[in-house]
Amino acid sequence: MSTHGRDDARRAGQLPAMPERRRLLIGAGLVAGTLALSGSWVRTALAQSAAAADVAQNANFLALSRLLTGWPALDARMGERLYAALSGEDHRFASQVAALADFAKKGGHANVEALTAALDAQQDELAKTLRRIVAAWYTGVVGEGPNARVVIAYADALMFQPVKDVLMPPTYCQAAPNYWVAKPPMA
Amino acid sequence: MSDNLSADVVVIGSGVAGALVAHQLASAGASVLMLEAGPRLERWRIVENFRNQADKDDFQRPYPAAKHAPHPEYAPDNDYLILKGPDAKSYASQYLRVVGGTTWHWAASAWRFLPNDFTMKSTYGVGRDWGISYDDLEPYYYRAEVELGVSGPNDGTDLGSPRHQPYPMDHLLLSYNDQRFYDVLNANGFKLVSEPVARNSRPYDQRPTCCGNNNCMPICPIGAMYSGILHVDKAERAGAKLLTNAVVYRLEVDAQDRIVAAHYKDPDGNSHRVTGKYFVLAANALESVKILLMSATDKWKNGLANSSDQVGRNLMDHPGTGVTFLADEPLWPGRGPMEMTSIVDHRDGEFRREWASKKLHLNNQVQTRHATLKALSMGLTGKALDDEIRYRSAHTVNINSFHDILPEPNNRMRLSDQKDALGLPRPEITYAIGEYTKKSAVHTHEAYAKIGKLFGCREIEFNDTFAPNNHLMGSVIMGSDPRDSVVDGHCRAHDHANLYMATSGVMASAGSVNCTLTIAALSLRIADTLKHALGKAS
Repeated sequence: MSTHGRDDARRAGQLPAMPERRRLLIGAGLVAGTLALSGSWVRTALAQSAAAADVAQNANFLALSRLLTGWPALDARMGERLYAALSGEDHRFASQVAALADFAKKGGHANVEALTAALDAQQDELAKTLRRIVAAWYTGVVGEGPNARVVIAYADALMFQPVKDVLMPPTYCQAAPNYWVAKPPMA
Repeated sequence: MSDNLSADVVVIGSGVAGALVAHQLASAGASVLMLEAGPRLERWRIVENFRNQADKDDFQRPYPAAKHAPHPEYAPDNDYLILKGPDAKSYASQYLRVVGGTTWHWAASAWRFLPNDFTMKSTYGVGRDWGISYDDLEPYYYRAEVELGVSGPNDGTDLGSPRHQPYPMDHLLLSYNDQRFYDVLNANGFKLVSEPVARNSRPYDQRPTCCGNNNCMPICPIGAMYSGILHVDKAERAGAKLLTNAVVYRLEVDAQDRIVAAHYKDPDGNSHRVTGKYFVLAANALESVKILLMSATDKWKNGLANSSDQVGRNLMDHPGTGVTFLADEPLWPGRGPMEMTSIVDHRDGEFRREWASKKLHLNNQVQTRHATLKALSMGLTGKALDDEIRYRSAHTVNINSFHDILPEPNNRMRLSDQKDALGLPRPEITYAIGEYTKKSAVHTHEAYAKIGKLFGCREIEFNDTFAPNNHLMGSVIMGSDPRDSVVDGHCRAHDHANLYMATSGVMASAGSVNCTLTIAALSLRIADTLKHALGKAS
């Protein structure tokens, strides 16, 4: 199983080792140079995508996804597949991604929770798009109904990240037999 | 050509029952031919199918039904089983028509029935007697435990089924989740025990120790859990011949009422005939009935083995209810195997005159996915989303149950007018759950509420609609009187001297535990009977 997210990011030296992944986006290494200019976590994250403009759509989606999920080291290939699947089920998706990025850039929200709240208040459609993107990354599945759903990822779905110190994706083995006897972390 | 195939023993079906019979007899030097309607699947493929399926709760999905040998699929519904009656949905059963059978996906609970389960009529005045006793089966229960590789509490825990030998393996140590339940429930008037399971607690029979992949259903990735495929492989190594994709649709009977041949169709619809001295019908409780009913002749108008008119009747399962809540402490289900403990204080007693016995079991399945779906449905994003996933994964409690049901002739399977791709009739089932079971479920609901309270529950959700548990029993029911039963105490058809039935369909009471170990014990007993009959007994 490949992993992505904070451990990979740490190994790559991109980010300081911090226990709370929400802080990673505003970690010193990442934002030191741009914080003064933008004053916003949003512009910082989206700025990363500008440098990769040659694969603009996917890069923009990935940058937006980093913003919306809070995970800094999302898998680019998974992002491409999610983008294709989400676009495939809704022809307005590309423009919604652009609108969402635009809204986020202008808003100056402190974090994705604040962005979500703002969208809920002002832009119902974009709020739905935001949640579709988040749900796709977290579940690894796109689509509705028993026949329409496409599995993009299993073990790499983000849902396993918040519990990965305690639980494994089913079918994978965590440790030696009887590891389950020990009292797990209580938080 | 296969049309010329002949064997001492023809076994129809390659699940745990058929495979055990085939392995025993082939090992004793008999020629054995196994006919399996479905295809052979490799374990790695099943694991990958599971990882790539959207609905992870659908245990049938990793085993795609063959067109020529369909089995029930529910998401979407392939309408293979035609379900009728007031509780039709409660018999929406899962089983697999593949080499190895339905024990590819089970929780591996390997319980023995209780002595009183065999004598419900004479002890409690309800239901039926089997015509054999627990003592008749006890040595075979032990042999089944050795064959399957059962680990259980060798610490003196009384599970109500007297044993002469210890479990072949000691039980696995309880997960933190199960241990907390053990401590809290046993201190508060419940009896919660570590349950016997066909799961390795140490290397056994060339298979590894369970390492907690938490995927017993729908597939153990490492083979630490027993599955019928293991005895299929052993039977083949011992010389049994297995034909896959061989859909038996008729047994041929001679003037002396002996079975002389089995006819099967290949996936192209071509017909083939194999002959044998003895026939063992091991095609599960519903498919076996199908074959008997499809084999009707002028003399056997209602189908073979059916002079009693009981073939297809007395259908039973373990109607289940459940509860889910959030505990006030983190328990972290999902570490270790999917199920380790059961609540057994109402498996037996005088109350069985009035209402059904039952077993409750704590789910130790990883809750991450359900927690995530719930958290997403709450609209959360960001840190709030992660916190909610973590909280629900740690605090979710899910308990389910099996209730006994009485054998009722009107709960039955017939051949439908609707046909499958080979032109064979689909099973049509009529099912109603009676007051005997419903009364018990009310008591179970109260027990759930009490347990919830002990764990300071929030968001308690009772699921009181009876769920199927896929323990298909009663359809070729055992009894000592040929007028009201299909097989005798040795699982031999009253009507046909060389026809045996190795299926949970023979079971004359449902009890409160799953039927696999009892099927295995009965199958080993059939094998002994046939060894003697063939002069192969050592």
